[in-house]
Amino acid sequence: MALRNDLTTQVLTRSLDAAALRQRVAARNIANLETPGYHRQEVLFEDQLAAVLEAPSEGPASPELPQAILQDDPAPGRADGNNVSVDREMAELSENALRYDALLRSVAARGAILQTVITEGRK
Amino acid sequence: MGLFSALRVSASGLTAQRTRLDTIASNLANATTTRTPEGGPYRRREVVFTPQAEGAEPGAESGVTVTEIREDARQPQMVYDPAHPDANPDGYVAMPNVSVLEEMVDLISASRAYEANVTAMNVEKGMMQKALDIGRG
Repeated sequence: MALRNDLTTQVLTRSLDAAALRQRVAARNIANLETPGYHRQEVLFEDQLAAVLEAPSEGPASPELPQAILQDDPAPGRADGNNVSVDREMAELSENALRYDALLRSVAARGAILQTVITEGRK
Repeated sequence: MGLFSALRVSASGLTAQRTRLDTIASNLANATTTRTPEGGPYRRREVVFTPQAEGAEPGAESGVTVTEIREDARQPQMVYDPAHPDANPDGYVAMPNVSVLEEMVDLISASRAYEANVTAMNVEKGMMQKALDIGRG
């Protein structure tokens, strides 16, 4: 039970959700590269998560994890009012793919621990 | 929801850029067309992009869409060519308001934007593939 739904698993799942959302947002920003007046959007999650995890915990109950927030980037844009930078989005895209991969590996590693617990008992 | 909608968002970007490429091709093909069914020379067309209407989850699932293909309001270029069958009594022909240079610049920009969407799509595919590999050990 502890391995299946503990805080680490919840943090991993929530972070995977945030990474998937960030991927969709980056895709949307890239698709709207040439749409006049479009403002790029960004996903805020990691800072909020760190704030929750670093806060002193009260009792044994696990803290309420934050939801990913979607917000418009108000930075001034080009002459047509669009502020998407393709380089920035591409960097975001590769960074996010690496993050997603790292999170997936952690999930798989936790699965492997569970597997060990199950199989070692048989010997 | 999920990563699949990221693929749809990128696909909307590909469709929009492809429409733009088609429009540019039509402008270039008609750069010297002096007769149209509406009368007068061909008028340059351009696409208008708008962010797609937002779904249940605000902002995240929508891509881009071509809402309009509008005609460029600029005046036709008057070229002196008395031998042309559509020349006016002064020898001037109303040529389309297409600038080949402008279209070429637009063409490069559209093709790069198309590539950016393809890259995003490939990254998404890679992520989905990795998600499928969890638990394979």
